[in-house]
Amino acid sequence: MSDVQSKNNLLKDKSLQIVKRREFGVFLALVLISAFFSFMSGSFLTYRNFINILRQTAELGIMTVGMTMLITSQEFDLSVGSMYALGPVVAGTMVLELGLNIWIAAFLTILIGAVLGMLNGTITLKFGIPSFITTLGTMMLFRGTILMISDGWPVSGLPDSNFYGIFGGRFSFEIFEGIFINIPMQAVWFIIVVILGYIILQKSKFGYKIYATGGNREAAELSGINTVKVKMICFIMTSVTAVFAGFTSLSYLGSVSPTQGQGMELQVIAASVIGGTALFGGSGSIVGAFLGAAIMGVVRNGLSLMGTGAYVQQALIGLIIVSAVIVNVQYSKNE
Amino acid sequence: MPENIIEFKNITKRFGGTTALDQVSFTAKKGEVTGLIGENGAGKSTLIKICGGVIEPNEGQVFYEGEEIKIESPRMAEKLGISIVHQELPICENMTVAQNIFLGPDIPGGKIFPDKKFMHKRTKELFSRLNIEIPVNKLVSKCSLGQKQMIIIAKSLARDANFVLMDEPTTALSPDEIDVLYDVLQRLTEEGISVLFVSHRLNEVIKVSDRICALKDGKYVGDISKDEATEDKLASMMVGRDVETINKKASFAKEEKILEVKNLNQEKIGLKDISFDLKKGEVLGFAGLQGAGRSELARTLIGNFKLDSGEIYFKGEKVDINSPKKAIEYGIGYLPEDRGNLGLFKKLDVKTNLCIANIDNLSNYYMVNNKKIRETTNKFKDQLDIKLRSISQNIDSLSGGNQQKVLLARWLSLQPEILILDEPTRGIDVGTKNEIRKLIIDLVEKGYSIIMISSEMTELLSIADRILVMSRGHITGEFTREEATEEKIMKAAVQETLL
Repeated sequence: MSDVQSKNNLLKDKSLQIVKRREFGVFLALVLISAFFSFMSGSFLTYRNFINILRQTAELGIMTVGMTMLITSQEFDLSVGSMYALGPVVAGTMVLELGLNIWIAAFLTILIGAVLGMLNGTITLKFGIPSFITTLGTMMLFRGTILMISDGWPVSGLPDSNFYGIFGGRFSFEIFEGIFINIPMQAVWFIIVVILGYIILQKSKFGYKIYATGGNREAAELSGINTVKVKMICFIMTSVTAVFAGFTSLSYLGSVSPTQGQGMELQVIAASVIGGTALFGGSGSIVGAFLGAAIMGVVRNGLSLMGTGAYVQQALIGLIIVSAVIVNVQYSKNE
Repeated sequence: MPENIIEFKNITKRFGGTTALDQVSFTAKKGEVTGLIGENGAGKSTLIKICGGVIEPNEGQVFYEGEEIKIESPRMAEKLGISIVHQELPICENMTVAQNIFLGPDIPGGKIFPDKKFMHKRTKELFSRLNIEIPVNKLVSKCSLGQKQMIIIAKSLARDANFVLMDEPTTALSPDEIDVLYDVLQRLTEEGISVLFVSHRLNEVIKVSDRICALKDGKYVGDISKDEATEDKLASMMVGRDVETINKKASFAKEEKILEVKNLNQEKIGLKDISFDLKKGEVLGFAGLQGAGRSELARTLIGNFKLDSGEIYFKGEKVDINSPKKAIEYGIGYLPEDRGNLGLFKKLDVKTNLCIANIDNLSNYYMVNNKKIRETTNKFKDQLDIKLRSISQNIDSLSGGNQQKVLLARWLSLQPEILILDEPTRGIDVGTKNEIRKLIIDLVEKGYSIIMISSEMTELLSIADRILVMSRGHITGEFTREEATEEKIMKAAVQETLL
């Protein structure tokens, strides 16, 4: 075979690899769904709406990154919705009641989030309770606790700080004289978390261990991998991403309701699964998680632009989740 | 330099009331393949577990390369250079070949990122040392069983193992793969690596081992060199007495065809144009390699897989068996190959396991009749000589052979006319194997008709009336008992695979 020919074949192989990748199906779905909404609503395919979608998807997306790693290690976390409210409620309360600086309060709250993730992990791993049950319990425990802390009232009226700008403001830069690009900071953080998650899960040595643990725990254990530690770290990362997502929401809205994020855990799991994460561990990708979250965001946004009522929206999103999972299961069968 | 890689001195290991190893003194020599044989429950796995640091002995001393040590954990065993190739091959299917080889606490590379190039290069080196070829970035889920085993062996080399223990390594391999394994064993010993080879297949043990040791009921029987060893000698070492070979003398087959299959096709699982018949009172053997489609055919016959085309006649009448339930109604029973997953209810007791398929007949209206269940269980317990302490004992606590008898009893309690037995003696000790073979002969004498799938050719040759050979979903050979030989069967079994 000549050089040119083999190069051509190599190219073919490369492009084939991309098409064969699981994320490609999700990407295709995203393109199709977007095309559908562009057709249905003139305001869908605009720069402004694109930025909007990014902002709306950011919180869900940040949490999906953590969840994807956790599910890949073969565990679940249903407490992320509560954690998403717990972060800002606890940090806000620290600021209002203890007079702490928001930066310090946020830092302490991240630590609390890590400890609570460790609690999920400890109950699950040390006592051998399925994480589904563990986190079903802690979901209610955490939610109840923040309702007690806040007495059910929203936390608001926080003193000014640059914190809110950094996590919930806009990032502006001038591309031409007088023409500015404004990107919501949530979206910027979303992208940063996705990149970090991608490096951790898909590029780092620790990522290998996550795949191994979720793929065959016994084999991983026999290879000398401390699977308890791997899973524990995944639990912690999941909790921390949820707390962090809560901060971006607090920064954007300026207040936080102790009931926010109810039901969000299921959306996060759905986004992860739509993105190709196998429910029983061992396979999952951050690129997929990103696309999964994007699909959830695009559908919600598109349906709103079409003027679909909230009730119909809920039902349609449910349908989309189920269809996506069917596609996912069929795909893994063919593999 | 010490001559022994490992030496056990008066090792005793007790689990609760039972003694798994009783004052066992055993050695494996350096740079040799030591064969280890013994019936199920003889203590082979306990011995392996002690070497692997999974359990610690109650009494006795272990010497590794001449020094007395205590192997306290699997990690310590690994540090010593002891590597175990387990029967069920723990491997991460979702990862690549190279990734699996370097899976562990210290993945090569920098602090954060793995060094893929290095891993690929090293993997290729390891494979060339073993003279095997597997693409290093292939996904393990796409590798064959034999390749997976090679990956595990290469993995132990990557960790500088100098003592490799293989637990029943050939059970599920094709003959070609077994040859590759022999070659790899040769190379390992040439590199000075010592091997402990545990297997049920006596001819293999003789072929690969330099020296063979036997355990029986937790006691060390003795050793024998390769040159002196014969299958008969080894069998009597294992059983502690001379083993009679079961040989079915007469045929009980009638002229009447109880089952007839015509041009059966099943595309998805690859069954092509299968036609055969089963006579009443006949033992029809199915030979072939792993993956030839024998179990798939059996499961298609009982309606577990739908057939695309073809006809099945039961007692001369065309039937449409579309579910296992229907098959049971016609009187066709299937004893699956995968006892653990498809047969046993591991958390339930013996009597429930035995009676569960026949529960309708053992009930009054909708209430289970415990008296009938006990009677049925006791009847079969005596009839099949099932060894147990109590019929309420958990099924998991029985030996493999007795579990198989319980499953057989489950089908017999339904009084089927045809029994399809899929590898009925796999993973069962020699003594019980023979009991089950005798039982099969008994059953056909009583008028049952039996289809027997087996990978043990000697077994088929000794009890089947007729042998069909399958390869890649086709029937590639049919031999009567008189014409059949191992060579002829093997030739037919590999026929299509060579094309």
